Amino acid sequence: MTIDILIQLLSGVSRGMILFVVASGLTLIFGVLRIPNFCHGSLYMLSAFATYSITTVFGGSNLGFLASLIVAPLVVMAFGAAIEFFLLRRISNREHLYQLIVTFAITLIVADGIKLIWGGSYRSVSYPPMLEGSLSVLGRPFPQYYVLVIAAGIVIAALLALIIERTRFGRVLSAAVIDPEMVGALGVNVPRLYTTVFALGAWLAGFGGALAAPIGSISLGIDNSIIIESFAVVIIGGSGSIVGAFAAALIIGIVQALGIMVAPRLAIGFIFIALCAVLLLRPQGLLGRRV
Amino acid sequence: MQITAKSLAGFAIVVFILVVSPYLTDESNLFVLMDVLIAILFATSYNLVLGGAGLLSFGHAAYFGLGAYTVALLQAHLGLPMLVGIALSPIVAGVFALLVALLTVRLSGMYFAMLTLAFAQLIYTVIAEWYSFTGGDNGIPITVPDYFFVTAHYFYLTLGIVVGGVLLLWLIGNSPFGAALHAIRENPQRASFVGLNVKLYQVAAFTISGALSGVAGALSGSLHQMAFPSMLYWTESAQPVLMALAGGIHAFFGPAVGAAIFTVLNFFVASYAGYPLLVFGVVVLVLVMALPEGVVGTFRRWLIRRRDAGSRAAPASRDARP
Repeated sequence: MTIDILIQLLSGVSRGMILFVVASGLTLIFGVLRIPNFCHGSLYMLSAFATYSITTVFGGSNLGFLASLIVAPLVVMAFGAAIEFFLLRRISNREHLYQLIVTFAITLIVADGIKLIWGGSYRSVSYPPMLEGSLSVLGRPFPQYYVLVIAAGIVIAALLALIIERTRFGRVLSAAVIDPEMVGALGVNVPRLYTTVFALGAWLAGFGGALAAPIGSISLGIDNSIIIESFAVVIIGGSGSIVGAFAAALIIGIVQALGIMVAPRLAIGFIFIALCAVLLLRPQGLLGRRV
Repeated sequence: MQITAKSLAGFAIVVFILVVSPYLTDESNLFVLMDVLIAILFATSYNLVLGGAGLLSFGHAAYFGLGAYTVALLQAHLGLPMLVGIALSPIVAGVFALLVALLTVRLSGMYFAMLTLAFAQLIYTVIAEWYSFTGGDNGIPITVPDYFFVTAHYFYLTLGIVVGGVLLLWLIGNSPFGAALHAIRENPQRASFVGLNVKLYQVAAFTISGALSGVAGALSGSLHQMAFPSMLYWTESAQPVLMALAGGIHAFFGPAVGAAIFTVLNFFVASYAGYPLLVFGVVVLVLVMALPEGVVGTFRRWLIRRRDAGSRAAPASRDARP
């Protein structure tokens, strides 16, 4: 029984890592641009479908998997940058509400656009051949691919922390989370910063989508489930906080994985219980500033 | 938002046309018209929060859906008739809205939007997963009494409740309460300095709005003879936001106009376009990018500009402007 819980815990961690990768992009966009990017889930879904196409072209080889992990997020990043540059930037002087609506309109367009290109049926991507097997954790099988996911999540977290702590871009980004107007007054090209952050956020959504593609099936609607969980991560972790997002995504992944053992149907409800608890105790999120 | 003779007259004319419409048109059009009326109540009550209190709620589908489930659950478990359910729907939806408002009004802006969304999803999840009580994904059928099975009868019930609800919202908007909300929307800090309990007003507006959204949902569920979980799904919460924005949130009848446009558009797009979301998304995108003040707001500005152009010859008349 304890071993079952441990295995469940580990798969919760890997689920949490995918959620972290996606939600870290969302929290950066929310922290800097101050808009809940509704189309973040669509970018994730788009990347998962692109991964399907790329791996299919390569016949499910290791090379195809690596190619998809590189190409799909880049495609999505370009798409995200275009959304910011051609749409959001044009209405940046209006209330944020309008930008939110634009991102919502894009979720509708992408959902039907994917249906148009890939059709409405379920797709699946198999594990890359090199990661097909299972590890033995205390005598129980644990998929190798999940280990890769956990490792990738940690690497992304470390890279983001490095960018934020050690680069000029990271410092500007952190400053913009606190006060975007002041950053502009100090001579930073704010529109360019917004496009860069949005593109980075989109890349993270895309990377999460490519990483998640071999787990479970790819279908229309995966955008809706990931976006709600990602919003929960942003609220629990605190807007703009990478460390907060990491902690929150881990909590949600684990709570959900263990919740499935207790009450499978209500597993998603546990997220909201965590959400309410955080709200009551720390409305600004675990590591957020007061709002 | 002031009541002018002109807008009252316009309102009376629209209501009159609606009253005689069962004699002018066929049943299928009446069904679309009822959907329009319900959307008008939903969008107008939603706008008490957005245009009225200046809070962006992204979870109103929950209260709409709770209204429908009030009718369905009371019928399925207690055998209460449809009308009792409709009468109780604002209480049930209002209580839930009150609870959510109490937890969320301490945050503002987009944080508030995400929180209302999260709580709406919580309510959705409970309803979608609690099979033994709510029927889960399958939803619960609503039985309509024989009298209201006649389309015209149900039409008049809907019309009466919607007109009543909209009038109530109009009165609220023009009451001291509405004026206080307006002050809070314009400048919450200043409003609190003059002694208004900002949070209390916001909670009250959210609760009233949720309660009347519940009535709209109860009417919708009874019209379609079904309460189903997707009524509460988060994407549905975008509907009143889009309607209010498309019509204009700073004009009382803006959301109503937006509701009419979107419901009719939805109807045509869903019936004739192969990819309805794509068409709908592009329309929303164009509306937002091109008409920032909504249809009513833009039209009003156009009227003012035309009047100004006309009065330039006689500047004295400008002082007479209300």
